[in-house]
Amino acid sequence: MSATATSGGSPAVASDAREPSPGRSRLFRFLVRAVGSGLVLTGLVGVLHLPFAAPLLRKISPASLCPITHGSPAQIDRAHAIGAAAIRASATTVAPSRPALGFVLDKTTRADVDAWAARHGVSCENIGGNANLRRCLDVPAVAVGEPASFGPLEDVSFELRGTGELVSVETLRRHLTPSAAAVLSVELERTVASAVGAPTTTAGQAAEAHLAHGFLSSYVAEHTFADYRATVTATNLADTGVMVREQYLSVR
Amino acid sequence: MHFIKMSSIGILAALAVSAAGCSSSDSSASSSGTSGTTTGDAGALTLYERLGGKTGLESFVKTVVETKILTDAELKTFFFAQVATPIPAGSPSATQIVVCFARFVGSALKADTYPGAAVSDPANTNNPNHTCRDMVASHRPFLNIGSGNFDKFIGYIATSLMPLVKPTATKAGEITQAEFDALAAALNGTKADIVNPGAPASGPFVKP
Repeated sequence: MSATATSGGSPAVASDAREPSPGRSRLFRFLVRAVGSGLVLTGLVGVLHLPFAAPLLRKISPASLCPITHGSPAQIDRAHAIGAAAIRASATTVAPSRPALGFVLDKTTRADVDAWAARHGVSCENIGGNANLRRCLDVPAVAVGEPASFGPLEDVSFELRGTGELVSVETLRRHLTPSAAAVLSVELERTVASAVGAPTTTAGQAAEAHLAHGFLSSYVAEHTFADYRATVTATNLADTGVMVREQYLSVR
Repeated sequence: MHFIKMSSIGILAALAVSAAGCSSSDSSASSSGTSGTTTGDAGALTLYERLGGKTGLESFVKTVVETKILTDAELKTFFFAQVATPIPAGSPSATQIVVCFARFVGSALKADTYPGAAVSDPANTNNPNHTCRDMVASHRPFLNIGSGNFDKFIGYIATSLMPLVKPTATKAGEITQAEFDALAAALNGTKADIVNPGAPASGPFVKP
């Protein structure tokens, strides 16, 4: 039914103003159908993401299952709590001190971390949009209280509780030679040991020959307590050299 | 979901160790025809037995994931599904993943069947009966793993296995350096298959 037929003999000028031309009418119908189709498809996609449709969605497109890229503070805390409980279960004594590269576990706040980053001109970002997970890139060694001769850190990551206190500091260095990694690992481990005592677990060797032995040749030293764990590791990654990592973790 | 994909790296690691036990002369550890009865130079116990069998393998992966991965600020973002309440539809629980892991390795050692029957976990209300999946093939489309995260993960595997390396491995919880090296070779071979070249080198999980 055309717009003209429904106009009931309205003046031509009025008819021209109210009734679309055939071309405009087709465009209008096209737009209605396009928008309608979009809404239907959107709704269908939404329905497919409901729990009962997950098996079907998995068959249609395995990659389309709902990812969780952003955890709630409660989820982040839950992940930490699971790890902390497992670590506590393997320890009997509390740490004599809990060094964390100048930060204070269970006290340092997000504002403190941001202030530290500003002081050292370090750029930081939320990890996966999670405000309680922060990663700072290209950090000079002196910013974390290490000698400049140790070389810069590829990144320093922080985890904070939902209530705002720091629970973990991690560092990452890669592209090291076995020789440099061995020297660095020894020095980092020595620093930790001077504060908390001998490691509770060691494996591999912080030696050039061992780290150069081959892919994944590793050294690990862990200081595990009922309220704290410090870890120094070195791993030969071949393409990216030797990776040296530190982690200072509250497990309270 | 993400948890199981990342765990498959660990599975490959254990498989590589398993393969090493089958042939001390084959350091590539690329053979899939492993046997749970071959002991190589590691004494009377089979490698499967030295890895602790089903219980030991479950304990190993559970410990790595809980004490290493879930305490890593970046890698934990791949496992938010497993700490969600409820666990999202389609995602296995940690319990189900651990069972799949042990079964997968056991299957490679001809000591178990994979995927086997659905793994039951009533606590995973959206997926109480999870069928173990072909984990290797499912890395790329799901996880968008970057090289940095791959490095971190295998670093955790390596440093968790390193304490097991002994000059002579004859008891449960012991592997030889040759077996460790075979594991390393196998892991090195999986990197190209697992890492998505277009993924961020490091950082959290990002949907492909």
